[in-house]
Amino acid sequence: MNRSFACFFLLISTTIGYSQDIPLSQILVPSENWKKTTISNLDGPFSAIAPDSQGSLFLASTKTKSVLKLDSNGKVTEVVSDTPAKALAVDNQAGIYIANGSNILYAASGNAKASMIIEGLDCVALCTLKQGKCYGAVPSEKAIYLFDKTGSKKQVGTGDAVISLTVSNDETTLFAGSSDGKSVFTFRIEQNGDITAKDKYVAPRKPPAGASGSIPGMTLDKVNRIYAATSLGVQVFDPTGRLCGVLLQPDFPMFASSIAFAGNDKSTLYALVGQSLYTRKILFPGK
Amino acid sequence: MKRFLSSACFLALFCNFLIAADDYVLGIDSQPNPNTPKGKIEKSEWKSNIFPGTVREMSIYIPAQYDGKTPAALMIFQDGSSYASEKGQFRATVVFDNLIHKKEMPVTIGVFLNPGTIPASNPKEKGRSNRSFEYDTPSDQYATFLEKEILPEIEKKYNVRKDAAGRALCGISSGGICAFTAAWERPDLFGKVLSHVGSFTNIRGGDVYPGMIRKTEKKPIRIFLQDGSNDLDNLHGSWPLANRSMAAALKFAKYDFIYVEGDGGHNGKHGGVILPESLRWLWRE
Repeated sequence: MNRSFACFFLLISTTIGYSQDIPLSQILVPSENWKKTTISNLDGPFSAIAPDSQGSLFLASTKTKSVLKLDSNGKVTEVVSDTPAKALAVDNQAGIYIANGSNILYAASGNAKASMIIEGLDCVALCTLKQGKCYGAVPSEKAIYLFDKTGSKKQVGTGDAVISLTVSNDETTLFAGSSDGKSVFTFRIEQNGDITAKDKYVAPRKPPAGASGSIPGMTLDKVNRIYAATSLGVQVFDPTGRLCGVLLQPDFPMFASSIAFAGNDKSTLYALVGQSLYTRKILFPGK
Repeated sequence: MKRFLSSACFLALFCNFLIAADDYVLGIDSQPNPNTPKGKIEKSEWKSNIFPGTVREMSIYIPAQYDGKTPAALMIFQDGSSYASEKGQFRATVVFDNLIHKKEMPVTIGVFLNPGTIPASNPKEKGRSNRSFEYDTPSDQYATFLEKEILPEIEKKYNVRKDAAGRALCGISSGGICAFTAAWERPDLFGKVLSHVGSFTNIRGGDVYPGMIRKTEKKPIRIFLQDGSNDLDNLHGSWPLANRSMAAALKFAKYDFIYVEGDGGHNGKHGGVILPESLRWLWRE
């Protein structure tokens, strides 16, 4: 009994006790690597991916100019037609925000036709809140906007070109990946969605001298570990912003432009590399 | 197999206890003395602009011997609550009372600063700790925070020394490297550093210091480093090796420093027990 307790205590204290200071060896599944997806009916190439809260993955197909839904059982359906997209985000009602050229479209759940809600907003990344609003990153204006499906919008952040967005599980913090790859900015999310208290909270590992960096994709796991897609690979940071490690690129030298957790228990990390989709099992599920 | 694994796990735990004796006992200078005048503590909350949106607890210790006429020395503690607690591992205010009374360190005002937290806008949610960002980042941001916000606040209320030799920084773990970083960036402001189990590892790039110390003209900083041979060895690095590497670099660059290594782990037991001796060394003329 004592030995069992000691063993249990050791395992608890060393493996699942803390989200801080956990190395990659306790995040990655041993002997698992990136795999290129080979799901039938999943017509790529793709230009954007986004998860919903149920473990489904939404993909913008450049071939069919449609948005496809890959549900957690592997079933593929077309949910929005005739709409190419460079960024997607899914809200709690399964409605989809779509960045299309310089416009923002919205497709309500079950409606295969997306409607334009904002004209002239050149977003490259989108991220929804549970209340239904959506943040959009507009690097050409060095701005972050907040808008809703009625088309109401306001600029909430300025000063830096950011190209990826995600929010913490409790929606108290917005994370924004810079276009130069030097920082993941954090903002406090106010009750009305405004963002304040900006800081360079996370400093990703830099690419070799002379190489350019960027953070085109970002997602979080259930304990707010930050997964940032960079030119070096997917960099994983603990919730306090400390680097846990770097996942190698799925298809070197190409790197992921968008990443998301999806699947049955949200423990599959999807990465859009070039226009192909790669997957990798992770021990900790996504948010 | 199960029996073997269980035994191995138990052995690992048992051996860990055996290796790290860590059985340090606080000495007389860390105990309250009824014949020693006791300083007073003023508590407040600080809202920072240098670390936007953060709030933090700040406690200021004013020694009984402070008269307001003679400038007092100043010592700023990171993770201040853990140092100020009279029942904790350091009991810094008790040690200050005793050493100042015995004239074994100067009349010193202690500032006990906690790391910042960014409160959640929804009061039902927890705030986000800014500790690692503030403490582990090798930049001048924390020194600027002390220069622009904390020092003016202290100097507004108290008559304190303005020379770097009259100002010390102290911290444990990430607070230890934070204390060093602030002095390294601004030796014109801070001339003394006391680091306990300092995180001179690659949490956010702080493992660069030994190399930088060796190749930078010596700065006027006096440094006391403490660590334990059973301190952390994890993804960020080995704490004992990092502290030894710091000590070797400081020796190479001919700094006024001392490195004391006990057999403890990542805690303040050893550092707390030797705090009186550390302060005597740090504040010696």
